[in-house]
Amino acid sequence: MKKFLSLILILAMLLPTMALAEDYAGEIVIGIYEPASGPNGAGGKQETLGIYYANYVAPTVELSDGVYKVKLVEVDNQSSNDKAPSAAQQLVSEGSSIVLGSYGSGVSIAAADIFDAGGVVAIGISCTNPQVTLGNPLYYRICYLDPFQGTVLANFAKDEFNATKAYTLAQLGNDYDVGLAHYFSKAFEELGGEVKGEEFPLGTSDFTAYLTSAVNSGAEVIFAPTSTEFASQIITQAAANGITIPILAGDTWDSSVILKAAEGTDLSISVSTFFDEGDTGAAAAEFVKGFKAWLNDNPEKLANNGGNDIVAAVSALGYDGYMVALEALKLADSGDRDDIADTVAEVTYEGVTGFIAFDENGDAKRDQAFIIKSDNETASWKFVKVQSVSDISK
Amino acid sequence: MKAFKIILSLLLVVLAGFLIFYSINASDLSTLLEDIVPQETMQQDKGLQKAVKRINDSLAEANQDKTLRSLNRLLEDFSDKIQMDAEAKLDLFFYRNNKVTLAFALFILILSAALIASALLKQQKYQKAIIMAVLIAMLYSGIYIVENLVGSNSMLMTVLKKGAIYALLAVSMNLLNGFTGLFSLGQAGFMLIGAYTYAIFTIDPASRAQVYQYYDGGLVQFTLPVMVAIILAGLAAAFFAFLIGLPVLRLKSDYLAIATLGFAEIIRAIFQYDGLGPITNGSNLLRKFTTFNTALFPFAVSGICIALIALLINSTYGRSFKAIRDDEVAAEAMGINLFVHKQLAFVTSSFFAGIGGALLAMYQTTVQAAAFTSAMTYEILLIVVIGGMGSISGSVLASFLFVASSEWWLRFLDNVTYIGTFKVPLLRSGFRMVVFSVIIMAVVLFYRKGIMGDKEFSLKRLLEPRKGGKRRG
Amino acid sequence: MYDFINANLPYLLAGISVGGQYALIAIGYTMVYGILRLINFAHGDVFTAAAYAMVYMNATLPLYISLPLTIIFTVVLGYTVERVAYKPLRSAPRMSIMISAIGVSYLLQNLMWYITGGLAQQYPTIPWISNTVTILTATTKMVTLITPVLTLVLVLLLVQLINHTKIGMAMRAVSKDFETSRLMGIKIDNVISVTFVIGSFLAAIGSMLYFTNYTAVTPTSGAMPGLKAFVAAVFGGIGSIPGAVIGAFIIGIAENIIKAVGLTTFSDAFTFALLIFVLIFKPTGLFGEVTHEKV
Repeated sequence: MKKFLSLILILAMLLPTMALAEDYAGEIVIGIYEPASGPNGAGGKQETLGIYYANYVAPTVELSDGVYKVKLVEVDNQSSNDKAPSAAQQLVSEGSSIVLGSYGSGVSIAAADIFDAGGVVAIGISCTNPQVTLGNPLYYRICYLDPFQGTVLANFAKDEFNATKAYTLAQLGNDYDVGLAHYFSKAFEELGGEVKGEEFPLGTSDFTAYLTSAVNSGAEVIFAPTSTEFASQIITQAAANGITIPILAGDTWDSSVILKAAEGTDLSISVSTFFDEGDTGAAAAEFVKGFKAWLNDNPEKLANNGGNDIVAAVSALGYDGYMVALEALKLADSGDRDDIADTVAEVTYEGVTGFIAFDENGDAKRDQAFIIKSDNETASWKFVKVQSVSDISK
Repeated sequence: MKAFKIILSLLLVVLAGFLIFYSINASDLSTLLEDIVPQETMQQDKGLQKAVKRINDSLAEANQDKTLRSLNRLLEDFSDKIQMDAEAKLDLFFYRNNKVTLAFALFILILSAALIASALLKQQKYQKAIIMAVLIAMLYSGIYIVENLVGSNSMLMTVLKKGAIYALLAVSMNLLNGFTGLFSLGQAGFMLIGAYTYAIFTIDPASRAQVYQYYDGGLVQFTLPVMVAIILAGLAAAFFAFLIGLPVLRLKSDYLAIATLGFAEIIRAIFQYDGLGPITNGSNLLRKFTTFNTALFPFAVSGICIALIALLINSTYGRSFKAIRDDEVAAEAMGINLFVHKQLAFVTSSFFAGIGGALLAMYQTTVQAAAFTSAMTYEILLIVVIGGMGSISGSVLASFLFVASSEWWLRFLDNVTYIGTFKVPLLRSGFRMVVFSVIIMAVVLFYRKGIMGDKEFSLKRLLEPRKGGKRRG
Repeated sequence: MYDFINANLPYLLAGISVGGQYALIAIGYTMVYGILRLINFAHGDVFTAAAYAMVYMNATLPLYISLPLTIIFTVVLGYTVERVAYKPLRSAPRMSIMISAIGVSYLLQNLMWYITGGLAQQYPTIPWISNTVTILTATTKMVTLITPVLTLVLVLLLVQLINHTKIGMAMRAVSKDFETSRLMGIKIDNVISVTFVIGSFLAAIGSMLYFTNYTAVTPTSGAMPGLKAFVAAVFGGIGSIPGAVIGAFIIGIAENIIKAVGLTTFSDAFTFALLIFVLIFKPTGLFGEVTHEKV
């Protein structure tokens, strides 16, 4: 009798597990190639959150031969170009059908050849440097490019602040920083302005020398497209030194790290980005609502987002990136790398950040950037305007 | 015994002959496909048509990786639709494993040659040389075979390639620190010079405009052949070592360490300098230069270099180095010119560090000055210490262990693992490096002599059984 | 003239401020080297650990508790490192103990990376010294003025300790001649421990001043300052405390002058170039003593 009862008990305990075993035609692996540490770690974590939220919203993909479960495999490229190849290699070895990432153009460029050799299509999410897709046939991206972003900001500097002199600050060796500063300078000079540019080495904590240099050069606008780690230093030191020159930056500064550093100061910080939290479009609003609820549900996710639920643009892009990957899987109708590589160029998708389609380089056909400004009293972003290519005065 | 060896070797030659014959005569893939995929089934199944078309397309593109991948898929997905008789199966086996069988055949030939030689030449030194030759052949053919079986992008091959490169770097550092007793921390600087020299001279001219995008295409517009570029890399590093050695080598050990560390940092700053951009691309990535695609290349280059270093150490120069390490003043009193020998050690070590840097550049496919920090030097120093200062085989062994542990075996420590619903504590990103550092500290504190101490790996010691009985006295 | 001062005052102030902070770290290096002939590569990481301790303690405890607690933590850390990693190797060749130092530095950096997840942390604001203050036309934080003053006060106290106390005499004796001091009955272990305790104490103070100025804390924040502080110690004469302090101020100011001139890429490299120059032409540094090597 006892044996019979214990057997029933064991079977009863197994029942829930049997119920959990769903009926899937198989599993498809999507690789997440992002930094979770290092100077770009904060942004990488926010982008990864967007991807995980998208996986929460759409955990499966339906192909012609059944429903497949989508599994996410994550690696940390540590924001560093020499750790990048082995991290990318790991994703290739784990059987990723398609890879999403990275935040940070340098690590994306460094991994491009590895993905190419493995035949894996990579979809860049917020890496804006042209070299990511140029010459890399399997690398695509869904965000706009730095030549565009640089031009947008140069025009904004002239229109909003009537600036004729600018000072750019970039991190030595960081493709994103140096590239964006270069395109900004070119566009600004074409508008008739003067630019003084400086670069700081990795590991710098002291920016007073650079800020003083900016003041001494008579700059009317400071353009500092650095990663968030250095951004917070620059902001606190600018505030401490009483700098009043308006500061401009690219999409890396769209983060609560900047808002926290700027809170309570008098600095003017304007940033170009991919997405605006206040966008009232239906898809965007629904995304914002759902994402915030999902974040607030889990303290660890909230911590990864910077301790609050302000939606970073890269999270929205990460969400769109995942959905685009699902579209690529559907179009290829399989999880095989070569099938995906053949058909991914034709993918189109209406995302929360706008309409996404690829051109012959693998770049997204994007022509809009949002400009937002920090509100230092409420520690939040204020929408300023949408800048399109057609608005730019030549 | 002699007859047995000769008969065995003849049998091996015959086996090798078979393998070579079949490997060369494996028919080309398109006709093979026609044989195994019946025409009628193909016309009915669209999927089958697509799969076959893909294989033919990859063949036309001459993309070997893609061809094999597509072939594997065809065989997996459509195993029920394909008709294969015994001959087709054999043919297919030889086509798919072409390289493996050829390499194996080559190895068998070498083995049989060794057997014949060992049967005919009785002297001890020939026997040792023969065993060495067989072992080396086994190593290289083994690597080639494993690479083709496992795929050159797998984790194992990645670890082996990086391990081979670090082995060369460790041995070159051991030459300086372990054998000559000069505590130098400038390795990263010489690796940097070697890597950049190699990369600058092998970037594909068509891509130069793109790589040097901020410097209008850069100053250097030609390319050199790969081997020339590698040797040039070594020479460039050696040249700078010579210049640096002039003032620095007369400093005492601690000061020498700091001075070389300082020079490495200065070199790094110079390479990041914007003004030199047209040559070095400033602080930006260098890419699109010639890389290797088989693990045999780094193994071959490292092997040759390590052999050269071993020859140097076993020569009179090597004995002078050891004398300097043991007691500088005594060595000088014995007539060894300190400065000349120190310079020789320094320059040679840096030459090979430069070559190691070039190999590292080929492995990483991108080069950037910011990556060659003093942390890289410390890693190599730790490898040397773990392997045993003064032991070449120790350095080689330790570098493979080091790379395997940090890149592969301990990677699971970085992943958040759940047993059921219980989240295993401590396991998350970064734990791997912590465990790794603790292991290194344990070795440094408790196994000070390292794995091999200052002895070399010797087959004799391994094969001879210990003489039994207790020692007296 | 006025414009010249105007433009360059911020650089000078930054130089003095960072020079003082380097000085506090440099003293730790020079004292340990004087006694053990060991370059304590881990000292820069102890400096960073102090900053992290402050960040985490301040998140849960009020300032007047977390401040002394951080100092105690740093001192304990320095003491532990010495006991665990350096003491067992005291009789080993010099290279082994230096490699152990490198190993400890590596371990500390990886531990900090692991514990903090690799993201930069913001250093808490210590009231009063974080306040902005205006000197002539340059705006800066109060800490810039406090640093040189505090540094000088601490150095004076330290010099008094070394010259007028028994333990100070023991420290001087051990740095002069290790073996003989032991024969004379001086408890070497205690002397060495005291050295590390003092060095770590100063590093903790230095980290509070440094990170109030440069608020982002990452596991590698202390690497460069540590290295530069060591260069300062060598430059001033290894084994000499006043030398280390003067060397540190010179390096801090020179570094900022180089940035002012516009060669920012070379500001770090300059420090090393200075070091090599000193090592080649005057190896004992500005104030060091010449030691003779006996055969």
